[in-house]
Amino acid sequence: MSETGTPILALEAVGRRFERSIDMAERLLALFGRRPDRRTVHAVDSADLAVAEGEVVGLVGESGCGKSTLARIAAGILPPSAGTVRFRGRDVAGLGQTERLAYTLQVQMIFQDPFASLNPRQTVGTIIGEAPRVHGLATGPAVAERVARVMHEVGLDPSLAGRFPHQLSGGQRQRVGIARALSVDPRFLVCDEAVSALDVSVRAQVLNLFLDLRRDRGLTYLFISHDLSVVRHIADRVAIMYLGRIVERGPAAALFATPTHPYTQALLAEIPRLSRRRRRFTPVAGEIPSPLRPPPGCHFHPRCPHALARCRDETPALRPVAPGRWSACHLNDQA
Amino acid sequence: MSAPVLDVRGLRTVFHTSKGPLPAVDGVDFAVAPGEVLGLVGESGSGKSVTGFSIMGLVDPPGAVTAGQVLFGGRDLRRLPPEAMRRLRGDRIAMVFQDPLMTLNPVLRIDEQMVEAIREHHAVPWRDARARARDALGQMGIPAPEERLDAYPHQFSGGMRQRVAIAIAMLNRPDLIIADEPTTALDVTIQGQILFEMQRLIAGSGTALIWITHDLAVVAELADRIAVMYAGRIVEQGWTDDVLDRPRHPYTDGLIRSVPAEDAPGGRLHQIDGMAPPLLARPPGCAFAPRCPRALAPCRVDAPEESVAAAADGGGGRHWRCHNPVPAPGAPEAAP
Repeated sequence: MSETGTPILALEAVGRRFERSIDMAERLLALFGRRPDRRTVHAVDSADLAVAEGEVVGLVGESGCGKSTLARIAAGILPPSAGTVRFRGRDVAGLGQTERLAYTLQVQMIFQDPFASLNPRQTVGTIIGEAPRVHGLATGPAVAERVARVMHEVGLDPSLAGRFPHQLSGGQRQRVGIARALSVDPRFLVCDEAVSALDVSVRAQVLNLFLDLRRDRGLTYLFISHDLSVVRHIADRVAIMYLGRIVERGPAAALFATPTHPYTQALLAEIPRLSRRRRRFTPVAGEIPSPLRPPPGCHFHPRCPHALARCRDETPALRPVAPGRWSACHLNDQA
Repeated sequence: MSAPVLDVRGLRTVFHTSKGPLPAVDGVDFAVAPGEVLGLVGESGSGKSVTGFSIMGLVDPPGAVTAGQVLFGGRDLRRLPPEAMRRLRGDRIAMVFQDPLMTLNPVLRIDEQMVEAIREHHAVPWRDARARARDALGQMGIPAPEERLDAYPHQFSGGMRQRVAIAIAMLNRPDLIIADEPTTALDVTIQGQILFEMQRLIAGSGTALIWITHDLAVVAELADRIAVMYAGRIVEQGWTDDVLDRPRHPYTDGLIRSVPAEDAPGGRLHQIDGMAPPLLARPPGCAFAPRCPRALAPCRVDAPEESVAAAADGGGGRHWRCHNPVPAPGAPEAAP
């Protein structure tokens, strides 16, 4: 469905490298002919992802796969080092000042740790009201009204506006983070592990809140998580990342029912399930390789039970395998 | 059932603060049989970790175990002199933490730490102890164990570090391991590997395992029995299938139903409204009553006693603390 029409946000061949900066000692050593160790991490490697208006796209992967980097690029917090980010069809790199501001306000981000992302010295009311005040969306008493409105919307008693973050529970703090994002009337929320730090019962409350906001405000989500059961519940489409690359993408129901990439299959087999009792664990082999030295060819080949000779040398491209379904695996050529 | 390895009775652990005593663990009873896996489940602040620390005798002031018995092989650990307790720890009872860096010394090589853990308890020559350490690493699925013995903790990945911590815990083939959220910080494929190794090890050694976690699904797959904690008390315990398929306590029932189902994406999740009460302000009566959809008037006054299940409903090993339990399947009472 999202593969047609103009998506609200499109990432096209987006890449992001991080390089270690050379320190003074190494610069001195370089004078004596020792080459500094310039290691580069390809946190994201040529990722394509489009999100249609009103859609929830889940982005799943394990540590170091680049999902948070991709989230930050989508939210406009981090510029990509390759590729194009388009918001409503326009390259955000070429936006003028006013258009750029509209983009950054319309795309808001919600973080995993509400403790680290809320200023401990500001009251809840100040935290939520700051952005609309600074951007002139509300002035004077209208700021407090707006704060009360969004607090009510996320299920926080507006009387908590005078409290400080440390006086709130984890679930309440996460609601403050959501209220702050909503205070500038965004169209698109990038949620980076937004429910991962919450207890089970509170997590259900916050997930329900996300579903309510989607219905009431017509919001679009990019929902990043390592927790597949959460993503399966909330997402319309899912993209699976491994070591910087999107390895599989497709509608959530189809992808969870018949995963095509061996990594997706392994990941799905490992989701702990309430219905599975006294399981005999038979895990995938191998560790997640360091993003500093990813294996050549398909990054997953050292752990893959079906790896072929060419998987070691050739990087498989992300290609359509069925309507709306994309997969990056050489095995797809054999079927 | 064979005699339990561990039998905890009426355990109470209190933290003395300037605001008054905080009962983190408030009368906990449970037992673990040899070779059994008990899943101790609860949310933050439920007292599940403090229960583990209390058994190990690792509660430091201002905290103190103020009541109850911790019977380990028939001996009450609370009455043991500190030196005897120290000899037991790391030998007969071991603990694994969420963060393996809590157990590993960053400035010692892995072999030094492992050899020390053996020779502290058994008079074994250094070389033999090192060979045992190498085998223990190999059994936890660590590749090239001989070379890895010479490494320092920071040279391991998070998953490998946790394997080392578990290998150390298993070194002296303890009778009981208390594992406090050991896989919570790990990725799912790594978690699967560690659960696999753990399961294999304890099946071979007959070690009993208490797996402390907030993740019901992990416990469903791993545990023989489950104990659910809320606000310092075990509110329900029994065989895994009984507790998960036929929960009687409304909190257990709510927790299970708030896990996203596999077959109903996008639907509203069942939610337990409100939040757990702070330690200082536990309500009188049942601590869950303010959030409970089944609460009755007496729930707000009297703390419920432990009920024992009928034989058809799990029998003697199955308990819950509730004035108005969720009806057993097929029972007449209408849903609230």
